[in-house]
Amino acid sequence: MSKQDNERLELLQGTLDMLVLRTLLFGPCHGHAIAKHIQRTSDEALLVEHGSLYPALHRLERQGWVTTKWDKAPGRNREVKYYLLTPAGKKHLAGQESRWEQLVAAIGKVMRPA
Amino acid sequence: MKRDDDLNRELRDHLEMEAEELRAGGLPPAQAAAAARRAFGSPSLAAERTRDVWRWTGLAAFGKNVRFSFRRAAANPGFTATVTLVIALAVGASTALFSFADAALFKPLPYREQEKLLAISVQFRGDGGQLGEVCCTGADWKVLAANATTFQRAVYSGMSSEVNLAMGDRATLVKQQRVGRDFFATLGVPPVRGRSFSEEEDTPGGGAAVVLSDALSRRLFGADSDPIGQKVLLKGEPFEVVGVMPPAFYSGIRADLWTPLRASTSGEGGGSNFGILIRPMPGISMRQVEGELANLSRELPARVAKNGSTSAKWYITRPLVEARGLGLRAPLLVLLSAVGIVLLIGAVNVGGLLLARQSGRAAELATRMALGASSGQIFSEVLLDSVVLIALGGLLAIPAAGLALSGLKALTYEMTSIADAAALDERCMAVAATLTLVAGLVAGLFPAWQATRMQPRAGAARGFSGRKRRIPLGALVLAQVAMVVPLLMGAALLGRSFLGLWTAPPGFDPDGVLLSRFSLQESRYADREKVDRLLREGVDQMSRLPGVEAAAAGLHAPMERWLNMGVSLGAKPSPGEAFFTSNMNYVTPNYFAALRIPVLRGRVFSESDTASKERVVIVNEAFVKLFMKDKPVLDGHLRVGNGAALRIVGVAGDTQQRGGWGSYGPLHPMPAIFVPAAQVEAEFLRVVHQWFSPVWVVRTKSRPEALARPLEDIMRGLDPMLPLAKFTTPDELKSLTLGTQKLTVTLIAAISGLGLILCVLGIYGLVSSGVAERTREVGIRLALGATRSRVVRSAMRPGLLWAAGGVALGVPLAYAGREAVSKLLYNVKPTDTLALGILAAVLLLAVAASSFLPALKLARLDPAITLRDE
Repeated sequence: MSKQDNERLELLQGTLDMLVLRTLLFGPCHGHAIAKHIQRTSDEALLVEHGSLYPALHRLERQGWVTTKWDKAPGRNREVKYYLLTPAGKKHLAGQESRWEQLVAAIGKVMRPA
Repeated sequence: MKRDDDLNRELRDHLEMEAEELRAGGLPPAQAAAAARRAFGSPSLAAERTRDVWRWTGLAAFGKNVRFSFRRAAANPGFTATVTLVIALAVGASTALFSFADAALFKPLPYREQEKLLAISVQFRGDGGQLGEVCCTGADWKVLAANATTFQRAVYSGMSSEVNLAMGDRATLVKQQRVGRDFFATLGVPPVRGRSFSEEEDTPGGGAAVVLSDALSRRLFGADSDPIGQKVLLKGEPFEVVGVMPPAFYSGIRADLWTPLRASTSGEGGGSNFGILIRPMPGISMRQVEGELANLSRELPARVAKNGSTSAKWYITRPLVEARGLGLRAPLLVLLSAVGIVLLIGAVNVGGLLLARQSGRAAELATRMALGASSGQIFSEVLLDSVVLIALGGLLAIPAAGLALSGLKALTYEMTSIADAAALDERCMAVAATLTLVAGLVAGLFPAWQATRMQPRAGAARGFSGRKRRIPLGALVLAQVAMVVPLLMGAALLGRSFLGLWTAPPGFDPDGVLLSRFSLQESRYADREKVDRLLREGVDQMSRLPGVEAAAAGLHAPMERWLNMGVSLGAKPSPGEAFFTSNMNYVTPNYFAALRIPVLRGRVFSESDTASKERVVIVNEAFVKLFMKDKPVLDGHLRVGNGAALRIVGVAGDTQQRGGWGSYGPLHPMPAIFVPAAQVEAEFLRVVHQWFSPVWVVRTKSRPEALARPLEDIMRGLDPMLPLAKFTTPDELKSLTLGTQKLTVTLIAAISGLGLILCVLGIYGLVSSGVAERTREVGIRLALGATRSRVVRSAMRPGLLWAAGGVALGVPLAYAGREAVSKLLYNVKPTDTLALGILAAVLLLAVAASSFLPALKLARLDPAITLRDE
């Protein structure tokens, strides 16, 4: 992996984590639903590379910010894996959000100096 | 794995749902599936990336746990230091001893295909079984050299002797080993420069050739010049340098140079003095070699012993690597077992420490388990803590082992050259790592398992019920004590044996005696009269020095190894007569006076016992008791080998000499005969001077340093090319002769001492943990009127009881191991009562002290304060 790819991946990793956690704030979702939600809510601007979604979800689970549950999906006769936000995850999300806002503000100041 | 299956299922579901959506939007099913696939990208890539996440987060979690372990260790420096120290000492000592034993017993010899090399010795097998093993004679070499077809062979002398090497106008003593010309080739290490000896040089009367060691060659000729063809003045004659050996070459003994052995069937070759080593030819099997040796053995004539029984002579082989450490094998194996036991004690001790500390974390661990931590997590976390500590100890063990090994090498330098090659190489490092791992498992597994079984007591703020916890702790103490009992018994027995040897009456007065050796392995001193004159004049001048009470010379001093010869009684040989093996010494007349050896009957030698007079001999008491029980002694006769009759004119007291052959212990008042130096034959002198350097014996009241210069001046005046070796005393010789025993006793004392200290710490820990808990209970009891002594005694009880249990288990263990140690004991039985008594006393003291001291705290309790603290 080149350095550029690394940087890109890292930026996406952190941001993707935050987006996923935000999505789960509304309630448990399975992987596909999370991807669709982000897609729709961003007006198709953010197309989550599905190949990055699952590593991210499993990483979040490892770190204890989400937990998983196999449950019946509406309209399907099989069980599907659902992801739920944990209290630790909620706290982490709050922290990430505030950092994100600070970052955006700082960048804005540089790009459009007062 | 379930994890992988779940992931695959998840990814499949995702694809299906995507395809469904597309179908719902109007796409035909096939295209929908394909489109879903395209949008998703490669599922296998996604799966792989996810698996990477699992791996890296797993590693990160492990790394986090290790960091926590380190932090916990740093937070308890005292505890960490104790555990680390115990492990470092135990593993370090074991590794150092292993390195030493490896160099002596196990490490492959530094020769080509060394596993094929065999040493030959001669064994006599009679009706009563095997009668012992000896070296080979010149005749044996002749038989093997002439007839062997299945193996390469070489003859050599296993002893080195000091010889005079001229450097400028002085001479120094260097170590010479005499070897046959095939010696280097058979070992597979040819000279790095030049060649080995030729056939002509290796025949009696042939050219004087010498092969130098690398170190000596550098010393004499420098590193760059080629010494081949140069001459050195050795033993009074010019020798041509024909070869130089490679730098690391080791021939089994320390040697500076090698000269041709010139093995023949006469002189030296008439006795059992040679070593023979063989290497099977390429493609030949051991069976074939043994078969050939058996055939050759059958041709040999049988030997008739002194009681008339015959025994057949047999050639036996032994791998050369085994022959290397033969004398040290038994003691080293005992020591290795001992140090292994101490390592086990150390590991168990550390286990006890870990267990005791855990009680402090009981609440925390129990709470975590209640909150959902799996027992697997707790187990691995506690085990990791232990492993980190023990690994630290293992790291520290390396420098500890280095130190211990240097000490061992220094201790044994004079005694043997086997340890020269000992070092902390990869084999030793591997051993250290394995021992650390074993110690870690032994110490860490039980406490980790215990941690998962911790139950919080309902309603208690603190953790665990006291009595139940102490059972495993007590069991560990029992195990440690049981293991240390055989060690202490071994140490007591070996100590008694060594002390017996060391304090045995020497048979002469060693205080104030100085000894100095010189080498007469010289062409000039092949002339008997020159030897006689040298000894006479030397003794005369030395006795006139201020501060010298008496001076004499002889072939040997007491406390060392003497020449042994076959002796028969009677003035004339008779057919079928018996001969005995006795030590033999030649001496100047005042030898007995100088050493203050008592003469019990008859007379000493005098100046009139010269070469032209009747041949006389003095025997010692041991000789008389062994060989002349009911015979008249004075004025009787004996013969040495095939020599002339010697009249016995006196009986001297016994002196301690180095034994080691027959059934004699390492130091023993051996049977010996003395002949006047003036009366020995030239040929005899030539042969014995190849093996032994004679010695000046000087008795003085002043310090040796004061005599060094004057004595050297006298020697230089007599013969400037005859250097003197430095002074030794009889006690130093005794120390050297008893070197193996001294080493064994020292090491076993150190090892069992370490084991005892660990046990004491274990008992102390057990009792003090009990004390800590019962503080409140004892406070109440004291307030209610219990006496302090009663309280202290009941606190001591667990320590005493568990230790007693350990002793009960350990005594049968010690008894079972008595065979192993009895081989090393002299004049002491493995069940010796005095040793048992010492053992009991030491244990009692240790156990009592370690139980009493922590319990003492209870005696000073003020019940008012204790109760108030609740």
